Amino acid sequence: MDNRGSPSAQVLIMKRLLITSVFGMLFAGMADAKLTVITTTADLASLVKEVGGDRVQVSSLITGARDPHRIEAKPSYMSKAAGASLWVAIGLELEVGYESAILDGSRNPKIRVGAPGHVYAGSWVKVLGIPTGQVTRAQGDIHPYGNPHIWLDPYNGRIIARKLADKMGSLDGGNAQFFDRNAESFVKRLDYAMFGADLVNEFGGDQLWAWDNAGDLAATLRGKNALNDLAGWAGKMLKFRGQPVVTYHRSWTYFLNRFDLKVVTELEPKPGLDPSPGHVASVIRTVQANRVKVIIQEPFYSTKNGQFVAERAGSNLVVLPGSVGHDAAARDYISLFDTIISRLSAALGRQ
Amino acid sequence: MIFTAIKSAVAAVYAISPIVAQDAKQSPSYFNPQMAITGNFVGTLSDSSGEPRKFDFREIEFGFAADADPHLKVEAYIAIAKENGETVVEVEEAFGRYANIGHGITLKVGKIAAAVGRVQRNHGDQLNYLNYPLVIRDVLGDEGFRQPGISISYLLPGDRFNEFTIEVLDSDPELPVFNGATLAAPALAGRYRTFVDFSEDLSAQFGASYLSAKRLMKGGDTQASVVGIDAVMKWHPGAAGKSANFEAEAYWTKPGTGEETAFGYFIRGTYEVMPRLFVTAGFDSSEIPGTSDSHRSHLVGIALKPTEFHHWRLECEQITSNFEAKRSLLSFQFQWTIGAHPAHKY
Repeated sequence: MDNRGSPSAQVLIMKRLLITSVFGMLFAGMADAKLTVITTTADLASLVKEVGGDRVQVSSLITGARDPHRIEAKPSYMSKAAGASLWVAIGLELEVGYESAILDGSRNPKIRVGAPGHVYAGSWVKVLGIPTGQVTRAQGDIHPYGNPHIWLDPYNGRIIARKLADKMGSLDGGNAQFFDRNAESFVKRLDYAMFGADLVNEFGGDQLWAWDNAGDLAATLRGKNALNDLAGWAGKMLKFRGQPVVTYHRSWTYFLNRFDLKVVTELEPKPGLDPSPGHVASVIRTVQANRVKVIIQEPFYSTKNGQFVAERAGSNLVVLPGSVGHDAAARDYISLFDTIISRLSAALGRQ
Repeated sequence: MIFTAIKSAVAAVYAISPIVAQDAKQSPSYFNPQMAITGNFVGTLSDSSGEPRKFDFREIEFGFAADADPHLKVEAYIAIAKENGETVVEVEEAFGRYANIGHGITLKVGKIAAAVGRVQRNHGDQLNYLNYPLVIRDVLGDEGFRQPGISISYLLPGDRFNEFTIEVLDSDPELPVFNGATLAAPALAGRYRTFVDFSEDLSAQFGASYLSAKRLMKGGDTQASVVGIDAVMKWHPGAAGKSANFEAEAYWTKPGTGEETAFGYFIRGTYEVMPRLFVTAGFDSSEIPGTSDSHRSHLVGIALKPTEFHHWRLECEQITSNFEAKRSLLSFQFQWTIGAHPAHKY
């Protein structure tokens, strides 16, 4: 007897349809599930995007236009972090004022400090500027574990990309190879941008970085009659090696170390302190004595003091993006360095 | 329902695998709590009421925070304070927080600042002015409502921040709202808050709170209740040295069944006129619950904050009321913090 039209059969069909739809939606959701990553800075988000491509959902707490020292623990950051599987921070106390409050507020055990979903990129790189001797706040708002502006050395970007691939692969094994391939592709583009394609193809990126890290890049290439082939960022900055510069805040340590520029003084008398008239006068004297061509600062600081020093001492104030997105031209990690080096080399090259 | 929620929350805590520290580096002070000491000194330069001028410490607050174990984070704030000329030691807050339960739940147990309004949950040293607004002092006490109890808050899933908090707290008969009555049951507090980012520079938080406790009166039990709404809006552009915030709260207080509802509110605005120099202006109005008294306050203040770790403040306040003569006060504050970096709370 065909009872498909009876009320009980209709209920049964409806139930099956409902169950099928629910499971369909559930598994469709699982198939589309992307690793959700929250980073504290736009630079880290850019690196996660390079590695994760369209298989991760990444967002940064702040855009590159914000000073990462001065962020408040906004409740919206807690909501962002609540659904994350991976939290990527710089560490070295850059986020000391807000990280703990955001992580607590997110109520997300996956990303608490020490959990597999929590990483400090600062733990992967060689940290510069670790204070020696007694550390007190009389030295200003210093970072006892070292300078946290690690992303401003492209070599660190290379390390972080590879480490991110490992970490993201450990959390999303199905995409581990994809992340590794993307990281290697990014590293190759970064190496090309740093040294030029010809040298990278001839010697390999790892070797070129090893020579540069040892401070032997130019000498070694000269010995191999290859110095004229040095292109990219390293090529552009080669002729400025050893030049004195002034910075506003101690944020350019890694960048200047990589390209061998020497900081003779800073506009901040101590980290976190505004320039006083007496200190500005001393900076003018230092700029004149050292024939400093360039004063470097980020856009979020007032240009008043830098401009004043530049005019009085016959130098140039160069406002450089310190992070991805800080400037329309600095749209990702590689174009950040393109922008910095293009502007800085132009200023250093001025007579 | 509350006890069921507590039971499931506690069960969830123990279902979580302990978190293992990944950093192998250790120092002898590794397990010491983070510690900060805040000194809050206040002086009176002029007082029209004839009170003698004075310069004294208001409080020295010791703050400690650390993970007790993989499940529990503990915070304690102990103040040595001056109250009516006496030096007293007060536990302002001391609680354990289970923040890794998951499912959007946080559980706090201990002496906590009740989830009523926003400003009274901040400690006195975190305010942009010298004293808690009149309505908070009239309803919740000079230092706000801080009592032992249990607090559960739930963060709704989704991109928008929406949080519900429910608390069961020991009632304090000395709180103005309870007016010295014998309390038959713990106080219940509840709060909802939501948050909006209008842009990266401009954001706001809105909240609504409810506090209630049963009072034993000669004529029979009665219910005291407080309903409050609060809002804060902040403007923080990327450029250093520019910021503004505006905060307002309103409270309707019913000290007992059939009694008149007292209404009070305050509005306060702070603007960074130049880097590290802040101007604050505010207006308060408050009807004192259970009485026919009311008072109002106008204040303006200026604060210089050379760093995050210390500031100077000069504040002028004028209070008018229907129960005492107009009072004008000119006060200053010197405040410092040593130890752990202060939290950048919203």
